[in-house]
Amino acid sequence: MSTPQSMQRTLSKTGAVRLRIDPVACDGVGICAHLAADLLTVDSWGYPILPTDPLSRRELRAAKGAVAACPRRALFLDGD
Amino acid sequence: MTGTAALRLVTSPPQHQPSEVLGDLVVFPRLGSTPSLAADADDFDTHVQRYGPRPSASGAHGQALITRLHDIGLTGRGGGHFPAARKWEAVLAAGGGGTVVANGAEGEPASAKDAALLHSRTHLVLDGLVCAAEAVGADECVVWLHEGAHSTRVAVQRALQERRARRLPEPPIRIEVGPDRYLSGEATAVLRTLAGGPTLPQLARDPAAPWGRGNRPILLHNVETLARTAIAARTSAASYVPTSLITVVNHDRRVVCEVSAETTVAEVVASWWRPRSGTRTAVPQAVLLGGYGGSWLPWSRAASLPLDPTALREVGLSLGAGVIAPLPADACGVAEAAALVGYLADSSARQCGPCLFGLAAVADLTSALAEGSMSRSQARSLERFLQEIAGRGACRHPDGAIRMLSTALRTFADDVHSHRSGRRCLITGTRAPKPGLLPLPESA
Repeated sequence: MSTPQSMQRTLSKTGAVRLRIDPVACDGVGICAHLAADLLTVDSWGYPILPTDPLSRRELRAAKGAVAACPRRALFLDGD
Repeated sequence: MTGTAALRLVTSPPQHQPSEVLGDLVVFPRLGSTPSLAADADDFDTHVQRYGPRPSASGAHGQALITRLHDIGLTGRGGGHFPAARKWEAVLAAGGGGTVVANGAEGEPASAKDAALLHSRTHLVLDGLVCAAEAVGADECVVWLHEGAHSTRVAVQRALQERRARRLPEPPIRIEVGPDRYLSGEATAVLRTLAGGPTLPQLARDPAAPWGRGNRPILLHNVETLARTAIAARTSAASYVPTSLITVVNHDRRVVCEVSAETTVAEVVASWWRPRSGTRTAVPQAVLLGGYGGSWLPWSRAASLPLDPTALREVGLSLGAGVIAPLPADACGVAEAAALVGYLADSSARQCGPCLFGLAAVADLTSALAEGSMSRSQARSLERFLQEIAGRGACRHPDGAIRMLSTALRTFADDVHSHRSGRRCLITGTRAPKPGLLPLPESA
């Protein structure tokens, strides 16, 4: 489901974009936490804890990198 | 399965007057035994006598019904209490059509209201299902049950036969079943099954279209929500009586009763709960409200609460699936909470890391706490884990487990302190008190 179609939804009306995760797909590989260390942390079991607020422009760049690198396609960007 | 369970209707009058909209009070003798409410079941003619014929919900009638559901503030009785009308509007916004599902897979071990309703007011549920289908233009209906719910399935099959024999103008209704697991009734697990997937929860990426983009819409409601829809379709918003079905956990029995919105926790407990024989105190020390994923409340706070979804939401609580589980004054709440969180951890769908690993870790630590063997560093871990897990599953299962445990630690704070310092339990005076007052299925 993390297809270009769902990426398109990030071009939202308000411009507010959040980083989200499908926790069923996530295996806690941890690449995201390396690529976007300022943006997300990992929990006691190695699964990412995401910011809940909309992303700033700079955060968005880091988030896009993490989304693209996720081997499980678990991360995605979501606009309002 | 034979209906040998000695189920009987409660005949002694309750101290408060329950509303008669849905009718009777029932007692399930023991968790897991087959309810045999069939004797009291409405056949189609009795149903029509009792409630009148089902009004149409097509076209303008459907729009009027949606407005009425808004006006009466009907929320989802499976536990989530999402506004029912908004689900209908979401399906219509997606073009309408598709499938409507009556969710009768009651996973909550303490709850018996949905089974009671499907046995005694089957046609009322089915009327609500058909009303919803007409209003959103769905062309098929599904009744979703646990595969082991044999007597419930028989009751629904019998009702469906009656409706077919009468050639009622309604879409085809079929029964579908999921595995006998706690989470088989979780809404997204049902949607995923109907889309051809496994019966496991999934992330609803778009909450407005939880059935998944590109799929036909699916409108899913708990069976009590549909029974209330069927009643709302027959009344005006002004004359609709807001009531709730409640399951009172009474040691090894569960009592299902219908209460008005003004009824308090204390009234229901006074009517339908008895302390064990030999217990000196007649009132419970605390109540678990909503279900095993609900909130523990000290009796002093719980007693005066009205059993009204709106009023409870206003004070930051939820009626959940309508469960009231009182804890006797002589029972150890820490031990009970540890048993419940163990059960909830075992019931994880094992898909999401924070739920699979987190709940298991939390259950181990809580068990150590109950046994009086929790170290300082374990106590710190437990606090950290409770913060880390909430909100991080695809479904709300881990959130419920964390809520139950966090509220238990607050409600039983004095006893928690005693357990934590390795002393005897404050309530029972023993080390490692045994739980077992709240019913759990034998194999989780």
